[in-house]
Amino acid sequence: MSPSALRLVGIDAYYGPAQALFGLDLEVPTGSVTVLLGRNGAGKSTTMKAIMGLVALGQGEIEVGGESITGWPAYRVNRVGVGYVPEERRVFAGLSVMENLLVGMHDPDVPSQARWTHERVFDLFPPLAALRDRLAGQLSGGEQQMLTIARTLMGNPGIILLDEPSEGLAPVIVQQIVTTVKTLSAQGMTVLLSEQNVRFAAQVADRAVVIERGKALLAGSMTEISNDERVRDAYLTP
Amino acid sequence: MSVLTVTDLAKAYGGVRAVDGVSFAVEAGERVALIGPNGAGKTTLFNAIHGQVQPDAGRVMVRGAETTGQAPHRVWRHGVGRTFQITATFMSMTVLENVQVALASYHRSALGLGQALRHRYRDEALALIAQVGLRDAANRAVSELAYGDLKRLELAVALTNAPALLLMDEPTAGMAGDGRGEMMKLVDRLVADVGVAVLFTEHDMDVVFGHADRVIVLDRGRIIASGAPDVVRADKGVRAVYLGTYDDGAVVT
Amino acid sequence: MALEDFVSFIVAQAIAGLASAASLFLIAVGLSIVFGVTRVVNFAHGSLYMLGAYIAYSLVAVMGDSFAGYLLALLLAAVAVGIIGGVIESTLLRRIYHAPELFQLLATFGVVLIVQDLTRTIWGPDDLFAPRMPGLDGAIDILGHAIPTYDLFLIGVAFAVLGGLWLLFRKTRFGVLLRAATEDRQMVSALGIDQRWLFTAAFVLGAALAGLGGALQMPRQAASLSMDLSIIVDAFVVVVIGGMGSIAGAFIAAVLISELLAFGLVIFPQITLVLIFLVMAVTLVLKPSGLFGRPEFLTAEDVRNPDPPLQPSDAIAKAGWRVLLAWGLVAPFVLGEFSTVILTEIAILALFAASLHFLIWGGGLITFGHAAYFGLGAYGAGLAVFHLSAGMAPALLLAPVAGALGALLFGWFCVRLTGIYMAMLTLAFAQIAWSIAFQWIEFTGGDNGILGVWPSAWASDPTVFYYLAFLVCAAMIWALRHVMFSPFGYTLRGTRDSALRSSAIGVDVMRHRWLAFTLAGAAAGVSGGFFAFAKGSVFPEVLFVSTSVDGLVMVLLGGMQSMAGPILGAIAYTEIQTELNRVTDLWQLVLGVFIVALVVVLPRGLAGLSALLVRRRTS
Repeated sequence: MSPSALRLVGIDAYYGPAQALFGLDLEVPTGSVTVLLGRNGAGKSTTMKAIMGLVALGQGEIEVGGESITGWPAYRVNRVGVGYVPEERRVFAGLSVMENLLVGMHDPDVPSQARWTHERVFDLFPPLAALRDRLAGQLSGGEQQMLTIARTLMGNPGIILLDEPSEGLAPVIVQQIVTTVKTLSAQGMTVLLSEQNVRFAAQVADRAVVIERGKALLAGSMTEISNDERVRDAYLTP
Repeated sequence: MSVLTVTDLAKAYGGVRAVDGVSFAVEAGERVALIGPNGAGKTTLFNAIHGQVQPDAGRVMVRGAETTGQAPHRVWRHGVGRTFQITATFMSMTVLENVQVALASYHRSALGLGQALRHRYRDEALALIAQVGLRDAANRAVSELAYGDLKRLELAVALTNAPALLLMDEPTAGMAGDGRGEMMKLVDRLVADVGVAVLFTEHDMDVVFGHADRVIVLDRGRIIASGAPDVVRADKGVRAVYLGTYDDGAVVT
Repeated sequence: MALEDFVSFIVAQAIAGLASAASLFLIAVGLSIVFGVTRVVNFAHGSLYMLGAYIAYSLVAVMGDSFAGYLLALLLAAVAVGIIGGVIESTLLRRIYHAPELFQLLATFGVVLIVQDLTRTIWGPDDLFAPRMPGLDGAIDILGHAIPTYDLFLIGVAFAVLGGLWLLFRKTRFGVLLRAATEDRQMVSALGIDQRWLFTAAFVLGAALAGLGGALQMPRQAASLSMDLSIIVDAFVVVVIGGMGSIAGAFIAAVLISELLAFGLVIFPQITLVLIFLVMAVTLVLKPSGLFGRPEFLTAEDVRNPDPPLQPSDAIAKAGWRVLLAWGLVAPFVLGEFSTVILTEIAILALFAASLHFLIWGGGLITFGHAAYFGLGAYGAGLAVFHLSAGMAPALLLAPVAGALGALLFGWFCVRLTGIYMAMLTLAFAQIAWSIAFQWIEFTGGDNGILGVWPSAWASDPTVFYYLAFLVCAAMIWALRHVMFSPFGYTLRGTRDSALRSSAIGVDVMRHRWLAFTLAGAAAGVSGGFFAFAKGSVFPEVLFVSTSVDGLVMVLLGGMQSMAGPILGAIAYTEIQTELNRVTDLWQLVLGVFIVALVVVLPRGLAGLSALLVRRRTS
């Protein structure tokens, strides 16, 4: 098995006095598409924020490619190659599409042919090309989701965190996102995504981790997890 | 007469209909869970009932009195207590003082300049604190409490006006496993003892199906199902948008 | 007046207004940019403006013989101020980004004091007049009015800067990053941008704009040591109206205010200030975050470092209070009669500080304009003596009424806001009160003040007056302390800890804050009334921002988390100031360094310091 791109060991995380993660463990193998499954409130988003240094951490260790990044500020986490696509999209509403991409861009430590450029991003998301001068706040939900992924890609991440990418989107847009994730994975990117929509997850992910009440309950291949009786039991039986 | 009656309530944010014509009632002594995916409108609905958000249309009645659009401090006077997803307590006070401040407000002496607060409503406050199981922590600073105890304190504070209705926003969020069960047992006991009705949102389905008399499912601002837990759990529509994703055919095949 | 005369008058006034708006826009937009990115309101922004003027004065003296040289001098002044701003940001502000707002304001006010004394030392206390700008020293005739060409130049510069900023913010990556950071700093960081350099760069830009604003004023008005505070208050009003963080808002509000002043001064000079007050009040009631501002996210509830619960006095504390009281009673005999003047002042200022402490600590209400109610009390008493020939007793009774009425009026607006907006609005109201006292010469005597406010015959002996002041102030402080323990005080503390919880238990949060504001205003009014009789006179300075800051320093010095804090703070501060005045002319500099050090080194440790003081005093 390939070494882990991302590893979380026993992470506790807090919002003020409220604890959201309780000793969460997580391994994301390099080159994999790993999905975090669980209901809203289970701790999926918090796990991603914990990786990015956006919530208060208690105990635990976070490693990227074997290097500890525990307690690092977000910009440093990003600079070691972790791209973050947040849940509510959080595009810069008052900035145009091009300007949003500009914020995400930074001098890459990547060979030039592998670098993300506006052109490559527009190839991946053709609808964005026509909207390049539109304010991000005026885009539809699906367009904003494309933009927020595109913006993150401009920083040339090796690992991309996608928080609920299908949330609130029409099925046809969700299919586009599926294609995108597959494309990125085929290009060698490690993907960690969180989903409530298992149909979506099953189409893209090869590994799954079930999170419940701030802990990782189960981890394994997507097939193993979807066939696990306990997954249903955990959610559907009191 | 219903404890809470919501009629055709609607609230939009810039074109997005967060709550879109919701009607339901809560009866005395009933525990009603409000569930649904993120963005379904649960929080907006809660805030509209509690007065933090002005609804665009519709009515809210508490025990037969209209409270639509009234500020939270007025809604409280109609007998509505509230707990929050992330607890809101007075962090620079003791447990006892938190309850005493709420009692001062209930007895309409919040503007009182005379006798010190710590000598007032002491027995009444201690009784409420005992009711939620915090007797031993009465004189501790709130800032030292474990999160589960903060949630208990919120409950004690919410009980100060002898409410007819408790609005509980995610009563078990931020708590570890066993704490959740204890919290809900406490709520069950309060319902049995004082007959208060409880309307709560919750993500933990164990809690929902173990402790609700009735479940209302919200999706895109509308009620898509409502009824006894078993009925809601079997509902095809509910499975499609919320519950059933985990045993959907797509996964297994 | 014929129609064409009227039209030409309108045009002339409009142009004069626009010319004044130019500098105001430059400074307000800089303040706004810095706030948008760093979330710090920089009180010292006016000092940077002043430095721009002084540096430009010196440079013009060297190279200002030609139009090009003069222009270069102005630009170099802006660059120099930008560099100074960079130094201030990287040495001071960077350390206080996570401090509470009050501390940030106070620390930057410390910079104001430092810059004041340094400027005085370098350029001297007198106003400095620069020569006019070669080539722009004439006037041109527009519709029969002679319009100074320099005014037109200023208007041109304002539009050029507006255009330049537009280009910067629209066409450069740096500008795009600044805009993005103003919207969502966290996301900018998650996209790999180190905020530190962004903050420094924003500050340098803001400082350079302030410096340019100051430099451009040189040919129009003298460089003076009072220009820092007068401009910063105007800039606060502009950003409060325009909305923090908005460039367009700063521009439109600067024009609005300047035109209002330009026309107001001609048409109704007496109520110009009232007009500005009304514009600001109406804006804030309709749009609490200003015309173009975004609502602030509510982070006022500080759950990380809550205060410990209130404790009734234990034996040691009780002994401490008794010692303090006993000392107050015997001090005139121990220290001799000459000390009663200072002792009286300490007693009065202790009450002033206690009333401020009541608001800040008891209610979390950050006010930077508490001088208003102290000053209204002083003027209430002084005016009663002057206009109504009232005796001391009725005049002293009028003082709290004046303070309370002022707080009732201003507070109605202020309690609608929180945090930094509240601080700025309280300051703006206090400065408006100061301006009224300063300008309404027939009623207040203006700059000459009200003289002859002497105690009645029975209290004319300084020792008798001291005992009167001491006993009344001590009783008031005791009453304020009592209120903190009452249901009203606890409920107020509750609104500070969590407004959300307070409203959910039936508390009308705004009304409660408003009443607390009024109560503190009345207490400050009492101290102001005594202050008037102690000095025998009332001058507009009692209403000035420096009086508010004196109070804040006393509160912080004594320790925020202790009821004895403001008293000890008043004692220490008065002593320090008296001693400093004796040994150095640069007491503002020393005080400024002291304030900055206090905030940077001891942001949370002040209570410990005062506990140490208590122990020393009671042992």
